[in-house]
Amino acid sequence: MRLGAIFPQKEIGADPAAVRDYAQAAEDLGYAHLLVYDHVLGADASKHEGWKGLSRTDMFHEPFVLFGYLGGVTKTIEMVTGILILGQRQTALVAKQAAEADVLTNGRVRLGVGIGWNAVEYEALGENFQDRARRFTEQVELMRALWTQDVVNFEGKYHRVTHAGINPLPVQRPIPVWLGGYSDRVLRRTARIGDGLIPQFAPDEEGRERIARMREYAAEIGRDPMSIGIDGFVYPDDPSDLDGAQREAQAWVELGATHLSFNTMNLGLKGPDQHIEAIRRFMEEYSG
Amino acid sequence: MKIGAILPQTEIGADPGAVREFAQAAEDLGYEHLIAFDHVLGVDASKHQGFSGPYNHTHMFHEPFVMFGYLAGLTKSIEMVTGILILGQRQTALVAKQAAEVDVLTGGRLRLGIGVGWNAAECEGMGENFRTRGRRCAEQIELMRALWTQEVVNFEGKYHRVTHAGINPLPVQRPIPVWIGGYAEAVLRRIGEIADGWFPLFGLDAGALESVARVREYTREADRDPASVGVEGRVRLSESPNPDDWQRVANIWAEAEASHLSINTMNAGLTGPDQHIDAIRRFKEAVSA
Repeated sequence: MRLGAIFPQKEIGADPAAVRDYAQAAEDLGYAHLLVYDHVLGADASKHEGWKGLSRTDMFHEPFVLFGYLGGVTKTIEMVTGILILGQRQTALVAKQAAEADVLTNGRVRLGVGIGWNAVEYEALGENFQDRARRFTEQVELMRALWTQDVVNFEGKYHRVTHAGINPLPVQRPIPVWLGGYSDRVLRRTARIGDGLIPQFAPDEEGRERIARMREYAAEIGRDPMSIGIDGFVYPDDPSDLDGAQREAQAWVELGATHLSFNTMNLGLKGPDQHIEAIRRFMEEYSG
Repeated sequence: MKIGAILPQTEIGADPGAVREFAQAAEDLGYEHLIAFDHVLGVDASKHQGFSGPYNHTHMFHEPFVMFGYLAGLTKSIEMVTGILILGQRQTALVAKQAAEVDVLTGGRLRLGIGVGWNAAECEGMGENFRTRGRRCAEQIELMRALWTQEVVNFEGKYHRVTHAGINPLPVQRPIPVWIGGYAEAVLRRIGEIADGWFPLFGLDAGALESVARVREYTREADRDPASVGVEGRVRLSESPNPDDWQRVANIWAEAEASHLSINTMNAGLTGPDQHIDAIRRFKEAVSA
């Protein structure tokens, strides 16, 4: 089991030193990976009727630039997008920037991807929100081609690359691609093309059923279901509720999770020190 | 003039240690800025009939924004400059976001040089329209500046729509300086109208000084102070191999009132980071003397 920390994007603030301190502390504490959420833009909720999502007041460091930064100030900790909203970005640029982060971290990138939910963000990025799910599989296919071949000649339904490639190639050829989500379509897609699943659901009875279904889909197409990783999120309800967090972690272990990612956001913690303290206590409890 | 070093993208190799050493050496030598070129994709020239671009798939290019993130934590004062980033093939809001992130992580050390590029196959691979790239450029800059200075942007242009949304964090510099590279007449006019500075992207033998005068003229026509638009001259080691040449070229740029000058050590037969570092050491000594 590999234990990771969810980078407290929304609460760490804009100070680069705080970002560095947090990542180095996670590494020093023995965390195997750092998982980073992604949003390029936030919408002003007051101007969007019926808005339920995150808003512009939530800060998000841009994951690829952040991974470059952390590549220079950490040594071993894996960098994970969890998840990057793939459908709103240009496929070739995601491949290029993921490869660059992989080169600068000596092969420490894992790319968690999903299709997202924010139509306003897609619009601002000039991408089509409606067909984002249909484009997704082709995006992953093209990225894997760009990560493993010097020159790619690709003609898909949504992409055309004419005898061209990225350089440098990543250290990992290809970079692992994990899929985030919860719907039946995501479970099927993960079984078909994912190196792993980042479940956006809890390890309860329903979650157990979803994992079982994903494994059935994999078996149906002749893939070893256990070769597909699972990175379960542990979301404590309260910063002092370490028992609850341990129970949730244990539930993921029983579901066969290969990775755990521990979240410290939305618990009322302030500043990097309190987040570091929370991941320190969780690691102690977990190891103890 | 502020003296900068061009990161030898195509010759430094993939080792992050070499990238770090070059950047730290440039900073230690007193260089004020580090310039990175940009290409996302290179084409296999053997498969593209009549291809005549300067770079193909064998040329390595570190991705500037991710690399600047890397160098942010490993340097203290040197400015990071894209020279240039091919803006027309990237999504405007993502360039604004990633540039802002670099600016935050470097404490306000980013200068964004942009251009329209020349490689149609690269633009195709990125899913963008090569033919409209010039027309889209001014609107791209306008939207980026809005995103860098306002928490929430409501923008409806000819090529972009942003509905009450914004990036967070905002950059340290609000807005990040935007310099434009190129030499076509339409580009020179655009620089006079909207740019914070200009990368001529050509040698002195190509009518550079006359172009500088034209940019100044376009700047005046746009009711802007010509002195407020920077100019970054360039010395190419491949064309000017000797210290005497360096000083001579530097003097010409100084007479043209260039605000910045940078040294390009690529295509001069150097191998490995040490030789490039040695070249920028000698250049700095010569022009500082």
